[in-house]
Amino acid sequence: MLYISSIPYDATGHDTSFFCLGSVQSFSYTNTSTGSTTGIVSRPTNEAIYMDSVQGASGRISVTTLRIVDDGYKNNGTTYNDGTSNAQALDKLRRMKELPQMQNNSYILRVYNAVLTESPTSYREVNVFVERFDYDLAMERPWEISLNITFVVRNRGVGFS
Amino acid sequence: MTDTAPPVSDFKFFFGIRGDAGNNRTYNGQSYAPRPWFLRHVTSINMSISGQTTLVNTAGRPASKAQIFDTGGSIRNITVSGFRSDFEEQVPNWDWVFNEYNYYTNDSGERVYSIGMDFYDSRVQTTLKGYILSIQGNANDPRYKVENDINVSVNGFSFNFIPNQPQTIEYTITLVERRKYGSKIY
Repeated sequence: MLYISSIPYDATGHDTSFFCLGSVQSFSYTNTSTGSTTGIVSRPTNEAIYMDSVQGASGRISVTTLRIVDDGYKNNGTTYNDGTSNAQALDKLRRMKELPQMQNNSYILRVYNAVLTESPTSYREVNVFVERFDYDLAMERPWEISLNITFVVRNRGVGFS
Repeated sequence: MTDTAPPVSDFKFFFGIRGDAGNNRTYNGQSYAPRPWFLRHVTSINMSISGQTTLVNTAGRPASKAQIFDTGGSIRNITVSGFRSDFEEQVPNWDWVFNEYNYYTNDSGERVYSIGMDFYDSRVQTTLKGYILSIQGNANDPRYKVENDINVSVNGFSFNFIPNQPQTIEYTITLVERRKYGSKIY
């Protein structure tokens, strides 16, 4: 189960701005930091020289979720139906993407049941920006939407701290 | 003639920071030494060795008369894939990725720390000695030893949660072999 704050981290009302993105169909993460490697002619591979790229590392989280309104299912004590309709959830996501994110610090992505050996209501948090989201409307199931969202992992404060 | 069956190889895979002396960290008053992660379920290791050459073809001459010039030395790229289960580990998968310093007691009973996977390429790797990929085969027969320890830098890391097995993740680590910083080239 995924929740996300719709208000940036240090803004008023952040703590109560979390809304549900739905149950997770897939969750993947990719961190890339491509440096350059120079092999030395006539020397073995363990003498190649590595140089970091000037860009450093970046991380992306891609999720696919299924959001069903009016679903009375309770996920391990956490109420799934947070009272937000699909239309409201989409509107919030749209606004989060439309705002110039560079001037805000991060949103918080809250991942429930990330560690099954812990309490069922425990969660892990990642600071993110929204890079892209796609959604499908199933015409024969108007209470359900499937979301594909890509987040960029970033730090908590504005700037490079 | 005696036919001796080859010993069963029991490979162990370790990846991460080398256990350099003097780099202990203190946590809650206890001292922890740096250690690589034990990768219990490696499903594949791919290695690709390549170099750069320039071909000069001569007009009017057959292919066998082409000249080649080595313009770059050999580079080894390594991809390690596997899966990891929360139930077998002291450090859960999420922390294994996103927690920078993980303090725990390893299978040998030592108090150690290992760095989260997301942080290996967050350091200036140029001036690091390098990280280690260690493939420790348990075979007594040297014919079955596959690899020595490899000194590497990290190019990337990725993982997938498996939705119907949320305690398990599949991961891929991309590495490149490199020399230890400060070592002489010749």
